Amino acid sequence: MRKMNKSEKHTIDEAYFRKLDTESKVMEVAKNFDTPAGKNQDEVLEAIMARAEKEIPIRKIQIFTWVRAVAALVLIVIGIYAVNTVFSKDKVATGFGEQAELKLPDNSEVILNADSKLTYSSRTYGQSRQLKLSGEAFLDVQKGGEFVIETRNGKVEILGTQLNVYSRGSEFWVSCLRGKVKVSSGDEQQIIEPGELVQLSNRRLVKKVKSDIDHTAAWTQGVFYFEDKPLVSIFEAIERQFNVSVNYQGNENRTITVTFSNKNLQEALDVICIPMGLKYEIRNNKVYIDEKPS
Amino acid sequence: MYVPVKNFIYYKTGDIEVAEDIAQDAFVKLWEKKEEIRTKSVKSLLYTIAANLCKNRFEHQRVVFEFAKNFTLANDSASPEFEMELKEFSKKLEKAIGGLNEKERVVFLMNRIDGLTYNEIASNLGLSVKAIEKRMKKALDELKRTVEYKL
Repeated sequence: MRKMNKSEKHTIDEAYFRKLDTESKVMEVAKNFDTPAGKNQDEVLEAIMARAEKEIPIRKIQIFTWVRAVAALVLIVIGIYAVNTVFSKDKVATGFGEQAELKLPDNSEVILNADSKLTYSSRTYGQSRQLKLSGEAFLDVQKGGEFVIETRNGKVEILGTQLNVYSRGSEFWVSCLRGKVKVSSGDEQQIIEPGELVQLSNRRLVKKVKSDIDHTAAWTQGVFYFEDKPLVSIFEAIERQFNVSVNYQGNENRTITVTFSNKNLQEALDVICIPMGLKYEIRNNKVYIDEKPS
Repeated sequence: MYVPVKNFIYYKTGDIEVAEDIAQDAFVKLWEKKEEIRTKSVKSLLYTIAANLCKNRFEHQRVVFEFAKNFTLANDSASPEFEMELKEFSKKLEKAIGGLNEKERVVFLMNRIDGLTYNEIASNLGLSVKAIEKRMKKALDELKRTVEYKL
């Protein structure tokens, strides 16, 4: 199999690139894509061995010679170690158009919004309640010791009970419905109380008071509130909730305040597009949005 | 062999963790099916196993890709506008790739990212070179159409 040296950076020359037709541009740019970095080789090997161990039926041992039996024993030891270290993580993930509700070992409840991922280690959860989140989740936390959610953008420590956490791309905000929450990101730190929201903006955590804090968790009931959000965020939410792809080439940074439910795609598009002077067309799971000709 | 199989599943699902899981499973299953190796090439057997594992796990409707980008701009001559333009283009392309039909996407990305020839892809997937050419062409047409879609 031919192997390309992917770590090497290719240069793209402006004059050359501009001369290309779309097809060649597609070919050229795609050539320089790469898959996200994964685990290192050792971890992979251990994981494979652990699985081989788990999945090969025991009766096969009878036909093993004693040399193979010894080798298998070594595998078992490595396998058990790997299972304990690598596979003790519980993971819950939602796809597009999905939500998931789950109970953590301490009976705390979590509702995951679409296209979100939550991981925790059930092995150590009893000692320290630590979760990792990407996407959006609503949490109703049982009283107890420390409860920490790590996201790419910052850390959320829960000192009380009900809150909503949002961390997608570089957008990060946390709202508190009941109790008290401590949020930190970089060197910044804020404690918020019911009715307050903290948002990451230019690497600073900004605290805001909201009279309608319930709206931040309305998605758990299938209702989506967006206050002064850019079109791009709203279309991304549409993609997540309705499992469609949205194509819009206009100014994505225009902001809008809008409410829609995840029951009906056309209604949702209507409330966004009509006030913004846009028209849309739905063709096999793709939504094409255009400026309305004036 | 691990990386190409992992990539193959990643192209199908857009989820790198799922891809790693399935690639590992495929190697385990390969061991169980070692008797079949005589009749089929190991490589294509591995791809078949991985594809079946993937099918068992879920039907993917829509996938989202976030590729690592390997390009730099030709040194100082590059204007910030071009940098922006290239970034925009990559974003659009990524999105368009996510919208492709799975079969076409897999072929397109195996060729573009793994640098496999049509011949190699055909033998890995147990298909004819003609079929690969067809899928590649369809993928390109669709990508061109989506990327060019403007106001």
